[in-house]
Amino acid sequence: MSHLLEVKNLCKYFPIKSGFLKRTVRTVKAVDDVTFYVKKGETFGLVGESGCGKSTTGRAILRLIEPTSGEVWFDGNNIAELPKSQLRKARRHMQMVFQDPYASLNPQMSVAELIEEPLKVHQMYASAKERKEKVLEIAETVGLNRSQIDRYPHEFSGGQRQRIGIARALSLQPKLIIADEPVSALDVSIQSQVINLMEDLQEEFGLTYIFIAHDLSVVKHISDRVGVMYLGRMVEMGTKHEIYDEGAHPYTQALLSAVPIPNPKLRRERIVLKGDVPNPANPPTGCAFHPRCPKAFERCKQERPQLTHLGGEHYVACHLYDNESIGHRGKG
Amino acid sequence: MGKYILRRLLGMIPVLFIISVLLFSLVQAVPGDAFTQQLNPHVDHKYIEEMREKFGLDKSPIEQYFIWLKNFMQGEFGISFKNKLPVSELISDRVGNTVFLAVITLIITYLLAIPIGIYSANRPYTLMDNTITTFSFIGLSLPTFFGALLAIYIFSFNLEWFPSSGTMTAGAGYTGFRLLLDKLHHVILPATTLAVLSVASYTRYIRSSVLEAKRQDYVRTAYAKGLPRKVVMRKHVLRNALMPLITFFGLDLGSLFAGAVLTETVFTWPGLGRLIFESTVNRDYPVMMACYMIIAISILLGNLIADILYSKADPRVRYD
Repeated sequence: MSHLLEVKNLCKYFPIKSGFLKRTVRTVKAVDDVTFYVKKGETFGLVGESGCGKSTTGRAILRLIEPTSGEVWFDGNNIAELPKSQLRKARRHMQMVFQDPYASLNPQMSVAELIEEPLKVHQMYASAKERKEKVLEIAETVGLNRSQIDRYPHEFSGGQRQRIGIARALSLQPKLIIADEPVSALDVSIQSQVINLMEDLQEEFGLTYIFIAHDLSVVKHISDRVGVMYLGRMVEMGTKHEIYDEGAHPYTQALLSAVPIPNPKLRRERIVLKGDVPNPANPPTGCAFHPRCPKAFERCKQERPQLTHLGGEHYVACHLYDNESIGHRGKG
Repeated sequence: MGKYILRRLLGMIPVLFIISVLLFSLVQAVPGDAFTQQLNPHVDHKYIEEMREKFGLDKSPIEQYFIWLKNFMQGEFGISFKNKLPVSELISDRVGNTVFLAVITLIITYLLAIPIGIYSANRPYTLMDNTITTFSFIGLSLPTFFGALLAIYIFSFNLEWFPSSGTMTAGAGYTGFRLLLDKLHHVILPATTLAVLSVASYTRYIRSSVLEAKRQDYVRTAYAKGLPRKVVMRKHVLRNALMPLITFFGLDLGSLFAGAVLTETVFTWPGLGRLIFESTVNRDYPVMMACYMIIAISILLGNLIADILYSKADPRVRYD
């Protein structure tokens, strides 16, 4: 299997400006040296708590915000370096579904106009009639009926709006869809409808997804491979099985132990993390997780761990697992 | 929609009634009347009493109000104390000038404010934006009469580009297109003076409205679709950001007839504004009441028109 998307050393720093001359006093490293790949036809889940940089990563890939540095290889092009005119054309192949279905649709445009607009701009169909026919077809694919298509977004419920958002993204027949928390604004019952729809569409059109979420059960359900982010860094990455059953990073283990389980009689040990997520403008030295890590040792404070291959597709950025520390672990 | 408009129109009746009572009381509250001020002190008291009787000023204020109300509802605005002319004639002589001045002012305002506001919003916090902001605040804080005098001093006296008063060159006898040009030549100075103030506030408003629209999620969605910047600006940002201008437009429609009291007076522009000024100085009650009622009615109608236009423009607003 080839890699549809390869992200190398992606960084997005936001400067904090202060004072009369607007000098940059500090930078927030929202995405810091993130590297991963997405295979054609799979769903790559990106998890982490609020503010860890998952959404920023998604947007920086599409250059909805300009990355500070790094490479984004998609379809043989480095998106990060494409000139604006070509970038616009490349966006046809990578679409995004946004978190807030209420705010992400222009209230002045009917559903038909919203879905049709990208088709028009990218001149996907020769005649207006053909294009309108296609709009109807897409709307029906996501479960909207013909009579609803001339209505405006405010006349729909949250779940319906998210379907409109998906229809819009789908209309360009993209290769990659980045879904940024597509269900977190929806009711649980509606969440499953939208998730099922996304899975059906993936099968039907051979789509590749990057699924950004903080709900670990949802990600487990839909993903083939999962990346875990903490404070702008990718701390662990692997197949669903490798992450959920053999999670290696102490942060991953803590996250997983917090997932509620349906059986009340089942007892298990919860790993409760001390303290809060540090201020990303002033991240800890070494491993960003060390102040909260139950297994931290001296080296974690000084040296930043790199992604280490654990076998299979499993990678982790933790000193517990790189070669130099094996001796330490033995002692401990 | 028809029902909605009818309901709104009916709703205006009590509002106008209350406004008329308030205005009448205010006008009456001022001590003295048109005749105490106007007439020669050596004139016989009996003559003044006769005149008061003739114009009904000897009756009690309440009686006077109902007489006025009855006439007003029949479309009878009364006779001016000062000119002894029917008020309707005085007003119809002036209203054209005022509307002409107001329409030109509106056009200048929109032509300047919309592009400047958008330009500013597209380059927020740059040197140019800050300069525009500074000038907006100067425009906002400058009193109109001062601006008018300044404009006359610079553009009429020193540069001699524009005439300082009147609506057309007296005695020139222009007709047709030449007359229109002459009128435009006369209107530009007062209209620009009036526009400066509203351009300043409109620019501020449009700037913040566009800036806010640019931050909206659907604008990000539009970029993600691969739309070019121009299309995003036109179809997504401006279409939403300029919507509230409809409300402003309705208020402006209302003020079309209100006239600009100070500016018209400084430029000796024979419009309603100056008529209001003159009638107030002379305690010419019938003229004052008629002018104020016209302003009240046009503002109420302007609001209604704004609401109707809004429902046409914004799919989220519907009246049944």
